[in-house]
Amino acid sequence: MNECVLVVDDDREIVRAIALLLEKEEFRVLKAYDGMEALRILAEQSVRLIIMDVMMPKLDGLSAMMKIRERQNLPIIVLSAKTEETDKVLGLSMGADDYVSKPFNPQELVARVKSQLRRYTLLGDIHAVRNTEEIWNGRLCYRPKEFTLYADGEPVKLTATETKIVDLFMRNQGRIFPAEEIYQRVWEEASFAPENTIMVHIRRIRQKIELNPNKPEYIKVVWGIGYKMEKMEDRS
Amino acid sequence: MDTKWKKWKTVLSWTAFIFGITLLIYSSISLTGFLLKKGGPGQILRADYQESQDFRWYISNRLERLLEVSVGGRNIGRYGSTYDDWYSGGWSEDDYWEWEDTYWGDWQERETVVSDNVASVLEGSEVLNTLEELERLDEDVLEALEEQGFYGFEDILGELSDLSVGGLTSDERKSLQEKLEGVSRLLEGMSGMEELQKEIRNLCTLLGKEEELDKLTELLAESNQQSLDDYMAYQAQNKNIRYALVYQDKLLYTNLDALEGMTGQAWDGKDFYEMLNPEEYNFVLWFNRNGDGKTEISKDGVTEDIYGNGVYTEDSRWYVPGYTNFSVDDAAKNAVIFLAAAKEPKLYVVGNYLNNGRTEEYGSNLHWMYQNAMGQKKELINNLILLAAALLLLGISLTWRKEKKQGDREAARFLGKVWLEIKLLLLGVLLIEIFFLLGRGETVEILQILFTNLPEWYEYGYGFRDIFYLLEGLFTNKVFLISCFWVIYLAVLDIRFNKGKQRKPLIDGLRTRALRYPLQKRLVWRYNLLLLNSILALLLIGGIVITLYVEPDYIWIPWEVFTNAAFIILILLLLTGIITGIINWKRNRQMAEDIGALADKIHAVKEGDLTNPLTLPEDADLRQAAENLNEIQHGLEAALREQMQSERMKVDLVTNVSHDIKTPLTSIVSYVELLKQEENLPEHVEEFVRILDEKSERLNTIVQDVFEISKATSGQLPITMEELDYGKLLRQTLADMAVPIEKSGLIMKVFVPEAPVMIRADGQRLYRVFQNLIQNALKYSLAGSRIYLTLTDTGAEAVACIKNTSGTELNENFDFTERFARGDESRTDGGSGLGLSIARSFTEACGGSLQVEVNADLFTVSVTFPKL
Repeated sequence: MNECVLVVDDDREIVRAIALLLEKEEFRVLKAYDGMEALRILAEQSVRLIIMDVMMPKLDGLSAMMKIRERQNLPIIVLSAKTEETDKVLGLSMGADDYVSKPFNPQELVARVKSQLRRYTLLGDIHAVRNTEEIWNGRLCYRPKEFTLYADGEPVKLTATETKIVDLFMRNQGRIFPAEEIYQRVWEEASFAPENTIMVHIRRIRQKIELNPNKPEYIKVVWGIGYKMEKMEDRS
Repeated sequence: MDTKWKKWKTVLSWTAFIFGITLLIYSSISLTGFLLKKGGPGQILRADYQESQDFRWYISNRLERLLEVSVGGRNIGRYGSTYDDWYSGGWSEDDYWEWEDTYWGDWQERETVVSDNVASVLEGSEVLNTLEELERLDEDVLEALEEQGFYGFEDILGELSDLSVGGLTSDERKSLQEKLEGVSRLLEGMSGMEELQKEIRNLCTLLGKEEELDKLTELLAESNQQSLDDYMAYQAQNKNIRYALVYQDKLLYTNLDALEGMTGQAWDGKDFYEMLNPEEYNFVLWFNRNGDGKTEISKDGVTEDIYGNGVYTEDSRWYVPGYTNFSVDDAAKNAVIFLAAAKEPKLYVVGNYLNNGRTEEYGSNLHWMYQNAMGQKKELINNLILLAAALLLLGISLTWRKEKKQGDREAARFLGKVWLEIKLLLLGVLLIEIFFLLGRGETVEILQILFTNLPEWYEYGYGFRDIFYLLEGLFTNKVFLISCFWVIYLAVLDIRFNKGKQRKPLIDGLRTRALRYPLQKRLVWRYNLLLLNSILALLLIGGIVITLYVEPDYIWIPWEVFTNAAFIILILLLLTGIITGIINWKRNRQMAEDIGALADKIHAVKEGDLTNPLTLPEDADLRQAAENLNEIQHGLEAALREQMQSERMKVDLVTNVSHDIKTPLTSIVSYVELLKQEENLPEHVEEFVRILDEKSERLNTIVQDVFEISKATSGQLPITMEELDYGKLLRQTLADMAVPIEKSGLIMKVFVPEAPVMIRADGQRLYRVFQNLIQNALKYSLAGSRIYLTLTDTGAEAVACIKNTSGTELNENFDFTERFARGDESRTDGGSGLGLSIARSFTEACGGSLQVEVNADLFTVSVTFPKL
């Protein structure tokens, strides 16, 4: 693919590790160790994606991101040692496309890079084909007529039951479904305490659509109440 | 200008103001009186007593009396004659009272003289015999007499006859005299002497006693003459009035020195006035001098126009004969009267030492008229001088009004320092002053009018008028009005300059002082005082009731007033009782509220509310206690704040440390991943990489857990509380953990009711609680053993219980929820050792409680939440 990714962090070892991981996936990696340097490289080189730490000398990640956003539109993944929800919300609202907290799972980071790039690349096509028959949520897209779910533009292989669950969730994003209702609508029969059954399917779906199935972003458990699909903010 | 002079100016201007106002009130009250007087101040200043209405009336009265005497009038010296004269004068009521005061003395003297005369004339005469005869009148005759109006005659005759028999003792004579006086008065009651004589003549004829009749007529005429002589002898002593009476050209009576001994002689038309010194007697009156029945008056040689248009009206100055509508009888037409009045009348005193040892005063009336006029003039002048002085002083204080105002301020400052009680006492003194001004008699009278007779008084239309007369004394009293003014002035000063700055009432001071004593002492005093007051009130009520019941013979105020006053006092006591009761009730209620507030506050402090201090009113009994509590609360709050601060510092430290650990950890994780992707590594190296992977993962978990638990224990963990089904949450958690449970090889026994068990908690946190608990159970359970998960609904609470059999021996006295606690110290596998600790912190953060129970190898954790 040879797409160019800029990795910015004041910790040289981390930059190097990320670079190695990405290069294994055939990305071209540019390295910068502070915000100013990142801006300089961006001015000179063509970059498809940026991975940037928040806390850096000279120019911190958030400020650098704002400057970049003034001129360029490209996916930015923010890295941070801060794990609190407020920090994440702040990062996303400042224009980050994704937020990964340290210490990150290297596989997950690579998956997120790929996902962002795919979406970024597809964006033009997506807009072209986007029509009322598609239901979008973040990086997911569901075509009810085809009973097909796409993740980052790639069709996801789902079983019939899984498709029914996804259909229900995609059509009712943000709504909380008690386990009984899901069972009723998917299996079309009544059941008591079907949490186990449903959880098995949800776990499988997560494996197929989530970037890190251990930290699901889309299908979530609302503890003591039911399950829901998180409605992602449309960033495109 | 130095300050000393300024100070003096202040003192002077203020003093001038004080004296100025006082004098102004004093003089203006007097001057108002003068202004309202007849004739006004002008006449008073002239001080000519002859210009007064009194004098004119006196002269016309004299003239009438002299005329009467000159024609031998038979009415002189009899009871009521002077009164009739006054009445026919048609004067106003005020003048009557003045006249009464001035002339009463004269009348009394004459009365004595006349009755003495009548008695002496009748004594020893044969009138008595006649009366004796009269007694024998036939009853028919008496009836006939009564028909003609001679009522009461019979009784008198009866009494007279008893007395007239035989020789009379002196007592009897005296008694007879009195009776005769009675007859004489009765006779006066008849329309006239002539009528009486006619009647008696008839009687005598009836009885055949005509000769007695002549004697009686003679006696009466003699008596009359004697009366006139005595009367004139009395008048002659008054040298302030010089007179000469001429009847049918014969000089009858005179007190002109030049004519002494000439009475009875013919008058040759000589001017009597020439016999007097005009300087001494400046007022002259002639009646019928020219035989025209008119009166001439001249004063200081100037003749006065008496008649004007000749018709007598109410407005005419002189009430003398000669008007076209004021003529005299034929007898009087033969009389000529001369009368002169002294310019400066004197008092003529005659010592009557031979007879009764008394001194008699003559001419007092004119003398006092003159003296009054002089005195009034003097008083008026004095008051005018005072008024001028007042205006001068006020002028001074007006020119220095700045300083006067300063003086006001100084006075107000002084007043501000005075206790309210003293001010009220002064006001009370003013009220007592009113009492004394009215006098006890008047006060009792007012009380009587108010309490006993008011309805009657009111009915007759007297009530308010009489009260007004009684109060009139107050409003013309200078001392009262002046003190009233100053009391009001000072009160206004006090209110104006000392608004809110006045010295607190003495009772407030006492109260503040009382607050220094311990609460219990204060309360004891208060209740003692209340008891004492009640006893006093009861004694008073008892005394009144007993007095009312016993009704003693003597009591210092009229009984009716007492009963009414007693009634009022009882009502007042009742009212006071009610008011005191209400005040006490309010106070006790306030106290109860304060106690309640204090108790509530103590409870709140115990519960951990340290925010609002308890503020009770400054004079509240529990104020001190509340303040003490506030201090305790303050101390607690400070300690707690300190603790919170140190907790926060701890959290900050943990946060910073965890951040600092995460950065190198990131590198470790990344390079372990790179190592994992290396191919063709020796087997043992791959094993090392796997261990590195595991331990770095665990390190991450520990960092995360430490971070969370420090937040949870310091209360900084964000919590989103919502209603959720406890059972569903447990089922979801189990479903979520189905994979590790299955892998563990342990048997999970779940007893969760189908029906929802609703509680209030943060689902995400509670999931972490059970995730940790189940992980714990999976980790430490004896291989192949059963784990029991139960949810029990106790009605008020929902208890989730996880029981497992420990794989190792457990220390029963160990607190498993302590941070980094683990039953087996030597264990190094997985987990941070924070699992239970996090579970407890999160449970408590959600409002539940977590208990750990160890019974031999049975390890029980119960998580309890209040049910909704």
